[in-house]
Formats: sequence, C-alpha cells, structure tokens
Amino acid sequence: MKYTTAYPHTHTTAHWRIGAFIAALCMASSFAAQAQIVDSIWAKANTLYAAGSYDDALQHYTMIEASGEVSADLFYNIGNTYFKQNNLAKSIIYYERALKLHPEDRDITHNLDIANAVTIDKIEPVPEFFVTTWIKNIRNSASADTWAWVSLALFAFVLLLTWFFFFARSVAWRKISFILAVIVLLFSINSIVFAGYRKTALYDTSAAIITPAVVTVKSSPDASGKDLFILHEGTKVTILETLGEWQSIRLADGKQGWILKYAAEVI
Amino acid sequence: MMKRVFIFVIALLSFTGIRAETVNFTASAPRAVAVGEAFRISFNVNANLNNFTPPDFGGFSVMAGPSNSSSTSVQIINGQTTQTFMMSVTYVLQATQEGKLQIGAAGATVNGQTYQTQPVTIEVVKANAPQNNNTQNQAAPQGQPAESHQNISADETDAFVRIHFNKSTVVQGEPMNATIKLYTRQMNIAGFENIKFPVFNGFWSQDIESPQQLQFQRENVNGKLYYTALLRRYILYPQQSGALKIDPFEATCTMQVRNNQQPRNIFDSFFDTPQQVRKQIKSPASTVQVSPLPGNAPASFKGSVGTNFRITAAFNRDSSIANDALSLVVKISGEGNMKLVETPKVNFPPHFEAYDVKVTDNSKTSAAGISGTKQFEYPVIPRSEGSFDIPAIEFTYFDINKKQYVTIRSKDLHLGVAKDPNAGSATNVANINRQTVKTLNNDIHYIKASKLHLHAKNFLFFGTTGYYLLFVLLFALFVILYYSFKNHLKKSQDVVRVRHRKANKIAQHRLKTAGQYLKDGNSNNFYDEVSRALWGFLSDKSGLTIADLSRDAVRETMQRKNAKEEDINAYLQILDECEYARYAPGAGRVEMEKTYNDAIAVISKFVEL
Repeated sequence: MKYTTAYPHTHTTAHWRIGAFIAALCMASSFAAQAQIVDSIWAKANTLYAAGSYDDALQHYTMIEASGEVSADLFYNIGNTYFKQNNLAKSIIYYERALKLHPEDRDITHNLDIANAVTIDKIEPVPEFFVTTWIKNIRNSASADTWAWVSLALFAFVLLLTWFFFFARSVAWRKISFILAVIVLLFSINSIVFAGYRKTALYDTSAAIITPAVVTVKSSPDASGKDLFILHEGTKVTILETLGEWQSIRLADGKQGWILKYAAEVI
Repeated sequence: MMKRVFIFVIALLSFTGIRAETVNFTASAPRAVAVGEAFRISFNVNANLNNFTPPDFGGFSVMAGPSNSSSTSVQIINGQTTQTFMMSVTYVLQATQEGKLQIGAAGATVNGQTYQTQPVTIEVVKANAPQNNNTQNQAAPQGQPAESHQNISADETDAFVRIHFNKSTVVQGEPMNATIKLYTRQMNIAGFENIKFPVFNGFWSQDIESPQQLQFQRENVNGKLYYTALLRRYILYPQQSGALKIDPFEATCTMQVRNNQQPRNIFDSFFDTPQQVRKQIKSPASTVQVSPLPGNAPASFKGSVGTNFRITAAFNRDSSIANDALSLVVKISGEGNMKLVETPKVNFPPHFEAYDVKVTDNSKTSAAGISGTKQFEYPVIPRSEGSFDIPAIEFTYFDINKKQYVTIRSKDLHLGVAKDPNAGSATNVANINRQTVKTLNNDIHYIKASKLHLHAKNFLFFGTTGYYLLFVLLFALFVILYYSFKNHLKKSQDVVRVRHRKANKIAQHRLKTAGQYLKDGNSNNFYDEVSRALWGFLSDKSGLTIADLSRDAVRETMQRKNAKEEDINAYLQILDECEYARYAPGAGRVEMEKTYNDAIAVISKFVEL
C-alpha cells in the first residue's frame, strides 16, 4: 500500500493492477531518466561550445551520438564543432548527415555552403535541365514523412472530391470535382514518389566525403594504377562499387577513379 | 701672436666679466704618431685660465712649450650676440719609444674651481724613413698638399677606402652603423669623381653624417701612420636575415703628387708644380651576418624591433555627437626604427566611418639608432549614437635587449556618442543614404540549443504498414459513407417521388369531395376541403411537410419550380379566400363556384411541375 500513498491517484486495490501500473511507471521513469541525462549532456555540450572549448563539447556530443539515436540538431552541432576545430571533412560529413534528416533547414544548408566554400577542389557539376533542378528543389524542401503526410492529406481530398462527383446536384459541379479529383490524385501519387526519393536518399550510403588532406585517385584498384587526379579534404564523391580495399568513386562532374576505402567516409 | 694678444686685450676691455656657462677643459692630440716625430698637444679651455698644472707626459719628451694663446669670437645673428672665448696651452712633444703611451690628466683652476682633462692615449708606431715632413701639416686642419722636398715615393699615392661596421652580427631589425673611411698617407686629395656609394641591399639605411669637407685624423694601420677622413656614416636596419653582401664604395680620386724628377734647375724647384694623379679606389666587399627573428611572433607583430616602446591611445574628445567628426590619436614611442612602425589596426565599431590615417613621425636619427614618437591620427565619424567600446590597440615589437617579443597595449577606449540633434529633421530625411547591409565577415550559423529530440534511426513513418493502412482506412471510410448515404438517399427519394406522382390524384380526389360539398351548399366543409387540397398538393410536390409550409415557403417552392409569378399569386389568393371564408362564413353559392373553378385551373397549371 506504500505505492498507493506514494501515488495517491491510484485508487485501485487490485494487486495485479498496481503491479502493471508500477511496471509502466518504472519504464516511463527510466525513459524519462534517460531523456533527462541526454538533456543534461546536451546542455553541457552547448555550454562548452559557447565557451569555446570545442574538444570537450565534441566529446559530449559524441556521447549522445553513441546512444544510436539520431537528430538533425545533434549532427548540425557536431558539424559546427568540427568546423571550429578546422576539421573540414568531418564538419561537412555531419552537415550532410543533418541535411539528410532535415533537408529544409536553412541553417544547415548555410553552414554546409560555407564549409564547402573552404574546400580546395572546385568541381563544376554536370549542368542539368532547369526543370530537373526545380523538381529536385521541391523534392528536397520536405522530409520523407512530410511528403507521406502530404500524400495522405491529398488522398483524403481526392475522396472528398469524389464524394462531390457522386452527389453534386448540378452537372457543372460534377465536372469540376471530377477534374480536380484527377489532378489532386496525381499530386498525391507525386508526393508518394517524393517521399520514396527522400527515403532512399536517407538510407543511401553511396555519398561520401574525402577525409585525408590529399588523396590520389588511381585508374585501377591497386597501388600501381596510374594516377588520374588528386582530391582534397572535404570533396563529396559518389561510391559506385567496392572491390577489396578499394572503392570506385565518381565526382559531381562525372570523373571516375579508384581510391582506398579509408580515404572517404560515408555520409 | 701679437695680434692675438691685442685682440685678447680688446676683448678683455670690452667684455669684462666674461663667464662661460659651462667650463670645458679638453686635451687634443693626434691619436697616432711615429717614433721621433714632433707633434702638438694642446689643452683648451673656454674660460679664463687662472692656474694650469701640466700633465705627466710619460714616455714623451717635451720639445717646446708651454705656449699660451687665447682667442675670442663674437657672433651676431639676428641681433643675438654670442661670444666664444678660448684659451689654450700648447706643448710640442716627441715620442721616444713604440707602443701605446699615455699622457696623464692636466689640471686647471677656473674661477676657483679645479678641472681636469681626460688622460690621452697616443699610439706610437715605428718610424718610417721619410717621415719628417709632417711637422707643419699637423696644425693644418684641411688636406693640403704636403710640402715636402723629398722625392715622391709610393706613399704619395697610397690611398684606400674601407667600410667599417660597429657590429659584425646583428638580429634582423637591430640598428648598426656603417662608416666609410678614406685612408691616405698624405693629405693630398684634391677631389673625387664618379663616386658610387654602396646601396645596402637588404637594409633600411639612412646617412647620419656626410661631412662637406674632409676632416683628417691620424690613425695607425698595420704599423703605418695614415690620415683618415670620414666620408659618410650610415645607420642601417637589416630587413632580411642571412649573410647580406654589402656593395663596395667606389670612386676615382684625384691626388696632387709632386714630380719625382730631380730638379733640373733652380726654377724647376722654385716653380715646382704638383702633378694631378687619378687613382681608382674601391673598398673591399664585405658581408654582414643577420640572424633572423624567432619564429614565435604574435599576430600583431609587424616587424618593429627596438627597445622601450610605449603606446598611448586617446580620442581627442571624451564624448561626441553622432555624425560629428573626431579623431583617435595613437602614439607609439620608443627606440628603434620608428620609420618602419606600421599603422596599428584599430577595430572601430561597424557604424563608425573611418578615414585615411594621418601619420606624423617625430623621430631623431643618431648613431645609436632612431628614437622618438610616431603619431597616428584616425579621423572617424560615428554614424549612430550609443556607448562604444573599442578594444585596446596592440603593438608588438622584438626587444633587442630581452631577445623576445613584447606586446604592449593601450588602455581600453570608450566613447559615448550622443544623438545627433539634427537627425530626423525634415532636411535630413532627404539626405539619408540608404545602403545595402555590409557583410563584414562570413561565419557559420550558431549551434542549435533548443531541446533535443532524438529518434531512432529507422524512424520513418513513410513506408510503414501504418502508412498504407491509413490509405486503406480512408478508402474504406469513404466506401462505407458512400453506401450508407446512397441508401438513405434512395429511401428518401422514393417517398418524395411517390408523393409527387400521387399529388395530382390526391388533389383531384379532394376537389371531387369539395364539389360534393358545393352541391350540398356546405360552405365550411367546402373551403376546408379546397384549402387542404391546395396545401396537400404543394406539400406532395415539394417533398415538404404541411407544418413546414408557409406563404413564403410556397412562393419559394413555386419559384424554384419556375412557376409564373401570376400563377403563384392566383394560387395564394385562393388560399387567402379559403382562409377568409372559414372565419367569415356565409359565402354565396356563386363565390364558392368561382373558387372551385379557380382552384381546378390553378392546380392544372401546376400539375406538370
């Protein structure tokens, strides 16, 4: 009965009910305690960052990261800390990771732009059709789940319009609602496609960042291969395939070559 | 001598009570002599000498003296009269042995005070064979051809130039002296041509002494007596490290040399004309070792090297008004190359308009180096009011004595700027200079400090069963709603249609009953039946209950069914007649007949609706 006094709102006397309740409470409280610890580490890390002791701040951030859970804000702050430590490649990796989770966040894109502006390699991406760029921009303006909810909302709207189509009194209203229903259905399907793209991008492990200061790209997956070109820290590459210790990469401008696995870290 | 004494007497008579401010008692003698050479040593005092105590001449023997002399010179410049009085005691001495010999201190009493000269060290070198011709020349201050009756030897054209440095190794930026000296055996230099002074590559250089006339002194070089004259003295500040090569001094020197031919006759020797000899002289090349500054220089170090630097900074006013110009004055003083002190960077607040810095250099150059003050005036115009803090201005220099970098700071600056009294007035509004936001620096955005929301790696809602289930649920909901609504609609539509279809029949039936009442002459029942027939007809046609029907509702229903306005009015009028007759009975048979026919006509008009 100690528990009932401790939690006066539990009025039941049935033993199994108390047991279940306390078990639930313990679980909830352990989650709450864990969340509290994470919050305190987070606050401490932010204070350390503000004080300029970036090494310690990074240590705290990585403690949170080690929990296995993810957060765009966490990755963004880690990216900032690495940037302040002049670790360009790492900062770009973490900004990219944050951007994967929150592609619409302007702080992340701004800082990533600044970090990219410091990288040595200037790679002109292959020009693409402007409509493609538009579509990409629209697709990247929301996360996969946002698109998922948008698709659901649009589908509900389609059903509403169908209702109108069936039960509208005048022929004109029926016509309009039919056309609108078709258009909105297309949009809904489009949202599903966008959500799919975003999901693929989120779990995509082909994009990587060059981490060593200088990397020589070879023509074949062995050390005796011809040197094709040189890449510097912070450059984004796409991993095409992996062969033993080597991986084939492609740059944004279409150049391809082989580098050792360690030379690029997957975002 | 008589003349000098005469002047002296005149001077004494005219200026009684001559008193120099400071008594200067010095000994002057050549620095180097040869054994057996006669030379003069004179003790000079710029006051009336009362009592002279001769010094200990040591290893020199006195050949003549003492002889006293005095001179007075009066200068009048712009009405200012300055006079110099000089009294000297002169001895003629002869060295008897080689080596560095010392002449002790001489004493003098002037106005009851006793003064002493510094002891003089004279270097005595081995006598050269033809060395007896300089006795008279010593007194001659300027280089004149030596009066010698000896044959010309190689000595006559023996001349060379050397560059002396006071330090052989220096730190970058440390001051050093370079002295270009001319050496001749005879003071027979007539002039120079094609003079090429060294450029001192890698150094910042400034000449600190360049005499118009050559002042000869005697010096011992490798046991030979030379007349030396300073041609030029430089102060050098090495600007780079390493072994810096110094270009040689080059010149063509014209010397007056006597013919070395034996005089052929008496006239030859009498009109002995000296011969002009040109000789190329060039100093040997030399190098100076300059060691670099240590590498741990702070960021504010801009190359200044020296000692005892100080920095002050102050605004020329403690407070100001917005849009009113004022200036920040920064003064850097010290011993070092002030000419190379760069304008320190001052971080003014962004809405301060800073203009070109005015630099004033008040430094003196001496053989020891440059010292003084450099003043930087930063004119600024604060464009907005407020209280502004400007961080202390930093200046870093390499201290030669301490061999380390020293950073000095001015005190923190504070400036209160009051609101511009003219700001915001109508005249100013037109002149507001709108400008784009200036980007001062580009930096990453700050970290996010809001509450952290962690979620699992596979957190996506999209693609989960729940997501697809929602679609199915939505669709199922729609289907259920569709069918239930359709069912309901079907039911209600059936009732309405039946009523609609039966409306005419019911109306006919009621009218028939009404016709029966008409025949019977039962006016009450007749109007009742007509009224019910008309209302019931409308109710069935519109699908509304009788309770919901009113005159307005009737009119509205009719209009919706595109009935003619006159027909509606006729319909309503019959209803009115019925209503009237029910409360005021006693209507005639003719009126009832008319109402009956009207009702049939009106209903027949609405049958097709």
